[in-house]
Amino acid sequence: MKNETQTIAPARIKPRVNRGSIPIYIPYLFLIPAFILLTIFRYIPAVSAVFHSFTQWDGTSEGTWVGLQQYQTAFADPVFMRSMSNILVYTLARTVLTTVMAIIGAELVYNITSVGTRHFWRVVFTVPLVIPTTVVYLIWRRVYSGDIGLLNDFLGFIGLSSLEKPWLGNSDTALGALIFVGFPLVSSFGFLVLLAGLENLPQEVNSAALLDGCSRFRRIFAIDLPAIRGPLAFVAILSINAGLQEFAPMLIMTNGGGPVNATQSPGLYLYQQAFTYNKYGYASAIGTLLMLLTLVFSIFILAARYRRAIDVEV
Amino acid sequence: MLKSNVRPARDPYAITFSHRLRLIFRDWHLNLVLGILAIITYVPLVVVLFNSFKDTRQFFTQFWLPQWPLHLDGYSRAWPSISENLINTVIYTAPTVVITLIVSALTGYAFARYRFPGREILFFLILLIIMLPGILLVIPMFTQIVSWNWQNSVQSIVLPYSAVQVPLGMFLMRTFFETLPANYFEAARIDGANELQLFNRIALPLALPAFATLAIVTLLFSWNDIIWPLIALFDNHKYPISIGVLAFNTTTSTDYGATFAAYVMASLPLLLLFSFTARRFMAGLSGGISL
Repeated sequence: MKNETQTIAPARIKPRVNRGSIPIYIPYLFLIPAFILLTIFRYIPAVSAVFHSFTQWDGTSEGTWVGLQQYQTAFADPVFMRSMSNILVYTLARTVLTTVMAIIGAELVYNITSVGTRHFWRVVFTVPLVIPTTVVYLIWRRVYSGDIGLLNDFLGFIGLSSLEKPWLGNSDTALGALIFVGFPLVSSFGFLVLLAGLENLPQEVNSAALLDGCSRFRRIFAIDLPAIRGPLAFVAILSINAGLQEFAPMLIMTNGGGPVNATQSPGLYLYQQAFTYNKYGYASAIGTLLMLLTLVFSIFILAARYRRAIDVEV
Repeated sequence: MLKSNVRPARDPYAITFSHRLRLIFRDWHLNLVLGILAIITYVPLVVVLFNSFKDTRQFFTQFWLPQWPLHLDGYSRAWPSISENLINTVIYTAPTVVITLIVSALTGYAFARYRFPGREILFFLILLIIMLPGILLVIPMFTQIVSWNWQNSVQSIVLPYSAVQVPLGMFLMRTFFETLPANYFEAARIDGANELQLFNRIALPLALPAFATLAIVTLLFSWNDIIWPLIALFDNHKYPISIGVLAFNTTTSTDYGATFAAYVMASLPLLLLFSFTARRFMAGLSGGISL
């Protein structure tokens, strides 16, 4: 009899945080500062930008309502369309490249047995992260440079001088050159996040897989990658979001989207339209299209990530 | 008598030097690949360091290796403008980090430790911001700060930067606070602690590793961004380091020594800071970030 009550009782102990003894408004108090900050500097500007994408607006007056005219202009604008196709190629290639390299780096480090060596490599690939990105772009401009460039010099050294070219000045290679900036890209925030995700996996699973005769490569695809799909989705969304609005490498490395718009991006085009030509309405329409694109990508990734993961809490 | 018979027991789990060597050798192929990747990562950076000590004539002879004598005058030529930019960056970065840490901790704590009506909707509203392209918001924010007469001001940089970082910080802090055992909070509550004390005395002290990570991520963002300062600041003397190094590339493009010295000096403060905080930074990430 006594035993029965004991077996039933533990099932009722559930870690409930809010027991009803706390005033209901307490959690909202914690959220107030964030929502004040975000309302002023995120939500209101976002609504304002979408609203002004339907206007002719020079930034000073309130603007006149023109309906969908700005969007019609955008879709008929060859420079804008070029920038959209550029950024799609850039974002997809860059996201795949950075994610794959982060996975490779994280798996290489994760499979090392010695804890000390693992820590060493983690530090080695974290240090370059703190170099300012502007400096990184300027250094890589030097790497790709036609006259005194590290890449051309290296190609000459290994006997491939026929491939030497001004990588950023050539409209066939400029976009590809931007995609590979920072190669091998193991040193990234994604690398750290994925490595942390891997190291949080229970080690028993690896031992069991090893006992069942599962090879390391098969384990990576059958166990590791599905298990870290949460961090992977996070890394992919951040990368896609950053990629779609990329602006700095085009501004710094290819002098504002050159040669002949080969590296023009919507972010840069928006900046030029707004702050060089004062076409705030048109720039807002470009930004709104960019936002829609970002949302589509993000929802796609979240859907893929939660397709089978019923057991994982949000 | 007994003592002489008993030999000091060797700890069977102690890692000896030879054991360590064997571990490194066992994973030699992994270490080799990582070594190659590391070399490719570091070569451009090391070449920049070498070139910062050269004068223009030495630079044109060859640029892969260091050359003697070392010239330090590149640094002295770059210092006046770089130091100004560095001070500006610190002025923008320090308040941004403080505000981001406080607001993110509060928000992350609320989502991690409370169940309340509207929790999912509010969380989704913040998640939405991460997917919002910041470049879209630049135009209304520009007209806004102009109407407030905030151009060239510190708050015109600090507050928008904090707003950019809070959603990510909220994620990081929420994930971290969720890993804290609920028992700590239950125990303190039974002892009569109120909600603010739970946050102040229990959650915050335990969150130091996550704070270190978030601080560095925020620091990196406000050191790196060039879009918003280009728009919100009109005075060259207010520019942060991310824009300051760009000036070297155009106006003094023939002065290679000063240009590379500027790159090195722009990177050094964070490298130094990181060398002291590396362990904390990575410990904060070890809880992981997940969607």
